[in-house]
Amino acid sequence: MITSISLNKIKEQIKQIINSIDSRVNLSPDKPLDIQGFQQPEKSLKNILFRLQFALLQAEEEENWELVDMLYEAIEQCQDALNALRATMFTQILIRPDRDQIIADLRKIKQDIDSAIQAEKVLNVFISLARVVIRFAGA
Amino acid sequence: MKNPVQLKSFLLLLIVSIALGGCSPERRAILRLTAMNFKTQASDAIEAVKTIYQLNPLPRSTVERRQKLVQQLLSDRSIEFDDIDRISQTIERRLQANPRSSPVNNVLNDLNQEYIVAGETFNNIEEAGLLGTEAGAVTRAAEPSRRLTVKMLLLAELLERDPPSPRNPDRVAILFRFSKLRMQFQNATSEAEKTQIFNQTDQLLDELFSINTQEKEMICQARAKLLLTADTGAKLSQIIEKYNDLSFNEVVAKITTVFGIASSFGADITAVNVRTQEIQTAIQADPILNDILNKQRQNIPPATSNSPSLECSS
Repeated sequence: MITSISLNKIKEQIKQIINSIDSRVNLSPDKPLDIQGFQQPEKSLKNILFRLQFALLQAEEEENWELVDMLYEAIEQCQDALNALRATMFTQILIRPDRDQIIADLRKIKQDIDSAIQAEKVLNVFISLARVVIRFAGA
Repeated sequence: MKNPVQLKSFLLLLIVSIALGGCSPERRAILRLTAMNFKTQASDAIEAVKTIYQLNPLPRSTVERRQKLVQQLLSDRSIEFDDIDRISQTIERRLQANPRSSPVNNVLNDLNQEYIVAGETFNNIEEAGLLGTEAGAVTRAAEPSRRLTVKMLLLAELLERDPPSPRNPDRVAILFRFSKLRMQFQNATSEAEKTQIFNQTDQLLDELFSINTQEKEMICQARAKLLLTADTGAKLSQIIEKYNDLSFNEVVAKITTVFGIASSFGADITAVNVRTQEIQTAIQADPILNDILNKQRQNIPPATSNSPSLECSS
């Protein structure tokens, strides 16, 4: 059962998890991260969040409003930590390796296609003109 | 060909014959439609991923939340009603008036942006004439479209290996009711009372199983959407690659395959999970795609032994 004393320990635990993730990200901002190291902290945060939400129901039932206030704050803190951790993991796996390159390549391709279309339009005008010239010359 | 009119006629004939041998309008249409399909499916899949990674509050109605707040306002002696900041914060938190923004959603929005740009790349391609001058630019899109396909597969693998628990708040509420029933059971004085609590607990167990099933469905559906998008992405890469040398019949065959699979999966998206093997075989048939996937896969953590990976086909 969570009390206000054990809650402070849990909050400290959340802070430690976040600090360890932060320092790992800051240690090698340019190198790919070892994503495996994110799995255990994510699992811990999920379990902490579960316990905090359970404790909130208990504290409300007992009308222990001081603890309720603390739990609301701790739940927000834990959700923020879990979201930040997942966001970092997704960024590492899905965004960082090639997002900028993909968008730049695709935009350049679109630009080239549009220029090709433009060039074809100009050529079509010339072909139409040639047709007119041929018709007049033939007549 | 001394006559200038004859020369012009010859040149015109030459241009027209080159044009007819170039890219056909059907080819452009199928390319644009497949790219659009890829974009739409990716956006749908990413929305499903956002939903399952959403950290939800405890399942309570607005009325219930207000009742708890009123209860606290009337019984919490530590509340000082002249402290506007604290009162506002309490009310806001209790009623969840301001949903918190999630950085996970921001990252997934960034990811979605890549598919939007891919979808828009071939928007105007049908405006091209018969000369096929766009063909060179089109074939360069094979690499980015493969990379985008791989991202959908990586996300699907992440879900499979380490599935999130979007329905945990519902489990909290159920397990809290379990704890209350246990207390009631221990204090029960009559057999009738004990039987009643026993039956309630039994029903609660069914509620817990139902949450488990619903959660699995949510995650499997998101995974199915990711795989479906990857399937379209793999076909898009092939169409792009063969843009220059595809015969008309092959183009028609591609149309049937791309839209055939999409429509048969569309009716029952969970069927995709059963056909995972089929999709994976199709992807492995593309050696370049397979190569990119294997390289990127190194970033994905292996399945942990203590958390069972997702099994959608059962």
